[in-house]
Amino acid sequence: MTTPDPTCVRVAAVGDVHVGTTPVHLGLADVALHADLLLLAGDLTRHGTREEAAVLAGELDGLGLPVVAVLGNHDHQTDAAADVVDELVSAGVTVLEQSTCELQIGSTTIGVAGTKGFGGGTAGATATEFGEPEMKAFVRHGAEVAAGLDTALSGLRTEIRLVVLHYSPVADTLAGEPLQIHPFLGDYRLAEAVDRHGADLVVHGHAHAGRERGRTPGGVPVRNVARPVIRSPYRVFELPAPRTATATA
Amino acid sequence: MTGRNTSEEPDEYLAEHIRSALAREGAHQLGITVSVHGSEVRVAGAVDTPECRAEVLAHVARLAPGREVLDDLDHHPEVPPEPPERIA
Repeated sequence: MTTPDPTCVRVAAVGDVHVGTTPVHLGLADVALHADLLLLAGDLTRHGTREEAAVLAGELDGLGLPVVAVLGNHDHQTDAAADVVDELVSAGVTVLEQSTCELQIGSTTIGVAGTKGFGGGTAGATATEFGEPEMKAFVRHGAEVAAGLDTALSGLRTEIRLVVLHYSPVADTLAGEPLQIHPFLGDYRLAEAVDRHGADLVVHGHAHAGRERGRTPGGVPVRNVARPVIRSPYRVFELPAPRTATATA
Repeated sequence: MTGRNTSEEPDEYLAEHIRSALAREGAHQLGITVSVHGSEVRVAGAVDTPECRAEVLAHVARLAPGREVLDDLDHHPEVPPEPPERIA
């Protein structure tokens, strides 16, 4: 364990832990020694059942630091997302969906905006809201989710602003995934919302074969913390604090 | 005329049907590829754990009875944690 830098807030993050119904060892027991806050970037379960979420909740309960999560597509598989949320909340986890939470760590205020996000494509290669109702519904849903993130971010006035997603906002962190499936891995409109309001860091998961580091067009650091990418229980980021939040776009 | 009255499903279609079934059954991991060549089904890509690897292979064996399943899967080994990254 390293000595914490008092001028920094330490943020741990991981996604795509895909917990099933059998007991797991996620390696999170010591996270409070290394971080002040833990972000979970979706696909927390394999099929999105209450039973799986209960196993996960057992792993998260009592970690000794705030835990903020979004769900992923796997967490919706059995149409029981509300049950998953219930289990997580019972373990003290804050679950975001087009919403925010604010925390104070030391003397620093931290805001987290979160959404699962959705597909749609990366800038220059997007699906468009044209044609069949099903196609329009797909594209429209992504737009609505991005708009929800935009609204959520617009209300944050904290010194540090974090964004947690499941789907990727940029192509950078999808590199390594087949190009054919990029439209199902992320949506540039999420990055557009981030750049419009500014953030210090965006974390996401979903792209198991993607790359770890990227950046929005406006310059906000983006990190793919899918566990198959980081290949460790979590990644830790140090953010200088306090500082005045400024838009980077 | 071609494309009709074939006694066996073309390899490409069978491969995609296996891949789709893996997804539906929850063993899907983004990045897994399935290819079929005659009597062989090759599964490649990365999975999270050895248990997941075994599960995927068992699924494929059930989905392609009578064919040999070739295992080109790899699970992601854990690596030592990196030091914290300073976000400037």
